[in-house]
Amino acid sequence: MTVQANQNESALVCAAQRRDKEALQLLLTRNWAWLKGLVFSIVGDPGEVDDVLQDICVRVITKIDTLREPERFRPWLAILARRQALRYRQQKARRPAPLDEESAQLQPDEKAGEGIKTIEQQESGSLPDRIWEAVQSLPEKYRQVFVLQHAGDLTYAQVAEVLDVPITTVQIRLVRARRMICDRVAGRDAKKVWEE
Amino acid sequence: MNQEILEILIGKHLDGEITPGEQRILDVELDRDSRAAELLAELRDLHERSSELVASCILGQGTASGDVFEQAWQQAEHPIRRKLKRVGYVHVAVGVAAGFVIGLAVQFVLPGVSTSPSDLAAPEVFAQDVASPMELEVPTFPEFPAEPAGNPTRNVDWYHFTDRQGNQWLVEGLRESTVRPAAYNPDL
Repeated sequence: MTVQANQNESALVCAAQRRDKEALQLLLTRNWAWLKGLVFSIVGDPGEVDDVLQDICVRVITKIDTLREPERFRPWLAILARRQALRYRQQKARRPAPLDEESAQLQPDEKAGEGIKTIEQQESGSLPDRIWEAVQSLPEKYRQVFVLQHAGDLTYAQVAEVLDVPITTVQIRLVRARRMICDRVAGRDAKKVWEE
Repeated sequence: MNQEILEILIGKHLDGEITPGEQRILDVELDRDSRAAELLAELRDLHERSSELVASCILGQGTASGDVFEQAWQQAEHPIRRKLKRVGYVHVAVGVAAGFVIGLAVQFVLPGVSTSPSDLAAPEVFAQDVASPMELEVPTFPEFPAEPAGNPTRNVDWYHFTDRQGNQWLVEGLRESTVRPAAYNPDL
């Protein structure tokens, strides 16, 4: 089944390299869920994911003919997507902060007050809200594995392929990500042993 | 059983990645330890909620894949638009405006303060080809000694113009300041 899917994907890549628009669209649509998850786990803001995805699509359209091994499309796409998302994040970090954010930074007392309010809200928030907060607060490498696994419906092997890490690393990161989320939701301190 | 191993097995069970052998080990552990069963329930709940959250907060947000692809296709087909988007329309507009202002400054300000090229290439020798005199200051021309073998070698430029009275002038501009027979340089 997987071999057949890979063959189909390779055939689509070959067609896409001949500037077949439908093949390109199908390739990207099939990988859309994990791609979106990967970009989110790097950029961190769901509202900015579409901009990065569009840039990734442009890169794929213009660079697909440089892919020498059609059967390696997914890792190639993952590398391209990671670079694009990281570039976007760097550019965003270099942009000057809006005036209201700057003034907020200049008033630490008021900000601290807001912070306390946020924690109160967090404690009184619903369970899904707290889980989502916990997912967003995960360190990036754990967040990537966790979101990819849940968004892309990928096997461990496919997640490992996308992230270019061994399968055992995927398993361990997933376990630790779950533990960190549970601890945060339950209000427990994250254990130091979770550091790899 | 080690806590982390147990969690790995539970994780594999939840993700559908567990092998039959691992499932047997997990089942034995769940029967033996009630805390393991509680952990399984806790992690299963987290797993289900996380899948729902990721689906609603990430996958359910934003533009449809087809629309994003279509925009990207248009953008890839028009690289100028792509460059404009990357640089930013505001930056391009500011650049064009700045270029326009600089161009205006060069056009209207610089001619008043600069020296024209014709002044730099002022002729050193004049020869009038008509009888009517023109009031011009005739410079004293340097006389170069002739070469022992014969005439001096002179590099000249020719200029032609018509004065206010309609007289036509052919001006010979010497370049003797740059080319000079080295044998007759008194410093040598």
